[in-house]
Amino acid sequence: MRNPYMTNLASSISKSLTSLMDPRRKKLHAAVIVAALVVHLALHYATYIPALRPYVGNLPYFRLHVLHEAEFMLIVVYASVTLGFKAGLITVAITGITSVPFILTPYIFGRAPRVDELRDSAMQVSMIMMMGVLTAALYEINERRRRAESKSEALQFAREMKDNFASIAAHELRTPLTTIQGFSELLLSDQAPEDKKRVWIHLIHKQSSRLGTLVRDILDVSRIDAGSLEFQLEPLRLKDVVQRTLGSIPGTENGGSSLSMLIPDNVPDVLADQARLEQVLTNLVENAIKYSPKGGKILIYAHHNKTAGKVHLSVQDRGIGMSKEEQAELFTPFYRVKNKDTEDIPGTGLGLYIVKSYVKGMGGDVGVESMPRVGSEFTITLPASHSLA
Amino acid sequence: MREQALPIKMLVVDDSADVGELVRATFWDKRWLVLSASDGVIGLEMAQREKPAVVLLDIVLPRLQGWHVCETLKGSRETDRTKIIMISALIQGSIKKKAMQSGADAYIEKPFSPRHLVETVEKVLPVDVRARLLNSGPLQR
Repeated sequence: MRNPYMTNLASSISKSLTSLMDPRRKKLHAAVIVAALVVHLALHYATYIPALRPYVGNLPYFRLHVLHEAEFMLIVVYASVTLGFKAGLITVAITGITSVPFILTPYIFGRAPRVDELRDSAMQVSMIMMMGVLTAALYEINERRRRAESKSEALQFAREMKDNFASIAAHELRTPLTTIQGFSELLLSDQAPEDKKRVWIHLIHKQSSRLGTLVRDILDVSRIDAGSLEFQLEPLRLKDVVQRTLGSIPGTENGGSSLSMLIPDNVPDVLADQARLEQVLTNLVENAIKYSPKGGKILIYAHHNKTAGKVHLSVQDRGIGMSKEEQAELFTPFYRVKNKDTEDIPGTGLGLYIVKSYVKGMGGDVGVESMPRVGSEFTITLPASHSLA
Repeated sequence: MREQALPIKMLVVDDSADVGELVRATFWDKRWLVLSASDGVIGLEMAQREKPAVVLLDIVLPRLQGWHVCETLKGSRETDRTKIIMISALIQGSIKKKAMQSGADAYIEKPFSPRHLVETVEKVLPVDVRARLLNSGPLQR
């Protein structure tokens, strides 16, 4: 039959122990470890210091040192469990340094070591090394497990994010809505200060524009994803298409970016959908402008690949460029290069996904070459039209 | 428990400057001191240094995600009393569950009404702090 008194006692002991061993009680644990280290040193030097000798009494030398090493193991385990394996390693190091090997201790006190001290020195050194290696190994295993866990967690999160276009789209749409809804509610309340009203209205306006761009891009992408895009392919003179596109992009005149076009006359027409090609070019040129310094040079050029029957059209800038890792993700929906150079650059992250989808839909392809701080070059490849120029 | 004197410190951790401005505009009166951080690492450092009464924490943050910040604050004896409200435009059930599992005291979806934000913050505050808020007299800028 269970004794309720014993059950309660066991339960309260267990609760106290759990509470005592709580990793958050860092100061308590550190104090215990320091006290244990002092005891450890006392045990180490006890036989040499006359004041301490009475306390170790008639303990055989060997037993004293077994006690000493057992205490060492306990401190390291305690430190590792309560404060982490790194703390355990530090404890090993401190103990190893402060407990001068038995082989040297007698010299400090002015005599040569005895045979049993020599023997125990070997045991001591191997004990310290063993605890050090064990703790280091456990630390590494623990770190790897943590890294694997956080990596798979991040991957899981990324997978949830990436695979679920609708979720990301919802997230992107809700963000400007937060500004619009929040500030309009504050403006409608009677607590908006006069000097802030215009600022808040400006924020609402800015985010409304962003929302408009997002809605347009997301609708484009959903049409792409639904496979419901229809392309009206016809022979198009590249020079005309490019000139028309450039004329409609703001920021290309009056001290904005300097745009030049180099399309030789012998480049044949391409077979493409005019509206979609203009949108592709607009996206690429707008990106080049956005990611280039003010007045930066942007070159649009084309050449004919006779053997493949294709035309390559490139948009080249001398802007901030991208690393290989950034290039790999570039055409993914909502991916935007995020670093301190791009912090203030607006965008939906959908432009290049749209470019790639449209170009592929027209039977072509898109590629990028880039180097950080040098610039980028985006090249679209389209089939040459076989009609005579 | 140490009593929180006025003004009550609130920390907003969100990479959108607009959200920081919105929270500052919502908690405009002298009873509140609103601090802000735009990434998870700075947000965590500020929370540990300033020990605000409330942290409004976005989930998707540069450098360190919101739930890691939450877990770290709640896992330390020095900051586990900080009330954490996760605010996010991510609305899937699994994300919300994960946020609450990391120790958050409440979860607000974006877009949010400033009035709803005020109600949620007042609800998570400890009773004595709430009382100080109510007894602080007329609101001043």
